[in-house]
Amino acid sequence: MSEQATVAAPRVKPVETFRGDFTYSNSPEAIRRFPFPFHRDDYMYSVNIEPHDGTPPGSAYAPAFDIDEHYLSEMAERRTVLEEDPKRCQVLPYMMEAQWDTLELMMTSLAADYPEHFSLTCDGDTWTWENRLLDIRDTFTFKDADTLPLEPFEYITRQVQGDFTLHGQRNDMLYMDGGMVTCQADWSLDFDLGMNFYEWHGPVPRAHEMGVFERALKYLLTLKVGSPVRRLNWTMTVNPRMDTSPENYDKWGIDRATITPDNVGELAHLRVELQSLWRLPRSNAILFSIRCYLISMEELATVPKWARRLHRVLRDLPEDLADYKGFIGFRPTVLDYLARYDDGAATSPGGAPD
Amino acid sequence: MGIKSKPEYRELEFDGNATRHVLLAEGPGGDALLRVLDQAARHGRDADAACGPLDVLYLPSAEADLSARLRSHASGVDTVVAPDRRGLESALRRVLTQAVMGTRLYVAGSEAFVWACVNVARETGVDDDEVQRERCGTLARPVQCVHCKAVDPAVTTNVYVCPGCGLHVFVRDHFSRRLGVYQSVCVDAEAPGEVPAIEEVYP
Ligand code: HEM
Repeated sequence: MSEQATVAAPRVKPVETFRGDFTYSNSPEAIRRFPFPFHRDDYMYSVNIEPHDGTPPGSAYAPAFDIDEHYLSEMAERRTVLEEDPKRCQVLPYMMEAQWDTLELMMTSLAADYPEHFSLTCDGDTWTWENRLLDIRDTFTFKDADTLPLEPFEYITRQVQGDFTLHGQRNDMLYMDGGMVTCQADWSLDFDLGMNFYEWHGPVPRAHEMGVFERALKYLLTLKVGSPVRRLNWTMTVNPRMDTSPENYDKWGIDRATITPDNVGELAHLRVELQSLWRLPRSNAILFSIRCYLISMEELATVPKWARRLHRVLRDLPEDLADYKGFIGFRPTVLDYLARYDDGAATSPGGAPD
Repeated sequence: MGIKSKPEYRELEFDGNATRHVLLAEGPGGDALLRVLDQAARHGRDADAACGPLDVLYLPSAEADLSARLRSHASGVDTVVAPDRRGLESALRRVLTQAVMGTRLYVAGSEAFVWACVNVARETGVDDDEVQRERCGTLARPVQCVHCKAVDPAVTTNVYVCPGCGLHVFVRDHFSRRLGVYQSVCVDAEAPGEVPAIEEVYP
């Protein structure tokens, strides 16, 4: 958990949309703290896991679960998705202990990181949770699901930005035993539920042959309570659309055909997932948090280093990865746009702006 | 090979270490059971010991009906010939409620049949790993449309029209054991109307 002093109280914007008229945008402060995922001018899959230890102070990485200016918008979007498709939140029956573990971890972390917005008071097993951003105040009995309006996992993940999945560990393997998945990069919780680590990663090219998943799994199996880890993943998304689920691909796939040289700066977005992994204390399950950040090419280009570097990364990305990530069709248009910002100058190491 | 979620199948093989054997087949899968029954008889002779109780549950199909041969193969073997998939599944449930430690399942048939049996077994606490699976006869795939979730139990082509939502959907290799289906996804979402040639790839 992060030091209180490292996290500023985020200013939270009124609700913007991730569909229809797409009013979502990033403020200059949100752009500065965007978790730009490239530490060098090229990219390949690797076991990119590091401690999730509250550093660097003030960054999107510092809080246990990052709450930012898009909080209200993302919670509203989650409600809309769940209304249309309740199967986006499912937890297998034997995971009740892990549900309570998740609720406890999230409530204590949010209250510690953002005391202005969240508070938790515990009187024995009688807990009072206050979420002032969503105007929620509930008193319930810890571990008595009947005292909450929803099951504990759904209750709390409707109040935290990002997708979340739950993983039981059995016979040196992790299983997809539940999740809240409403802002995913083209994978289906309902379909992947019950799969093991290798199966749900089945569609990913190269990484199996490279041994990436074998090493990653080995690492995760020994994850310790209180020592969470994190990694970054990324893709490209057209429009600031959170719900790029396979379920709705028949509706959003067409967006990829709408990119032109005139609109690419506004429509093409870099989509970054800040993923953190938590061993849960009682259930011994793992909680996987997938926090999604979207930034348009226009916004990204306000940081010269990022535009320069993204141009080089996308240009040199192997075909199979570009194809898997779904932007092979509009890659040339994005490259033409970014090339204007790439003067050939050297870039500094690390992902932070210069 | 295929992607990691795509199931693999292999020839059924009698397991002499098991204490009880439940053999299941559909249509041409009956041949695989006859092979296992031969192996069981040989094992009994060689080890000079009974191989433990043995149940045969069989579902004839349009492709093949081997029930007569299965019935006459071995006396003392409990052979149930089911009228339909449901009948077979409830017979399997009945057999498995009396199952003991060391029970082995052997399943042979289409992919839809194999995974329907595995899922019944799983409900009663049998691990996937304790079930031997052989695919016989048709390569047709059970497929679920990711958009409307409708299942077509026997898809033989790369692309088909979803019976639920009417979209042209492409069959992926991604497979869910829990649901017993492959996944299909809209094929012309990015270029409406541009449907690739439909070919019979799972005859
Ligand atoms: C329990 C933890 C994890 C979960 C639940 C998870 C889940 C997923 C899912 C659902 C996908 C999409 C697969 C598809 O196309 O259907 C994916 C992709 C991927 N995962 Fe994981 N993952 C986990 C941990 C890891 C770790 C530790 C690594 C470390 C190397 C990793 C590397 C990848 C890579 C490289 C991709 C492809 C992403 C892309 O190119 O866009 N995953 N993961």
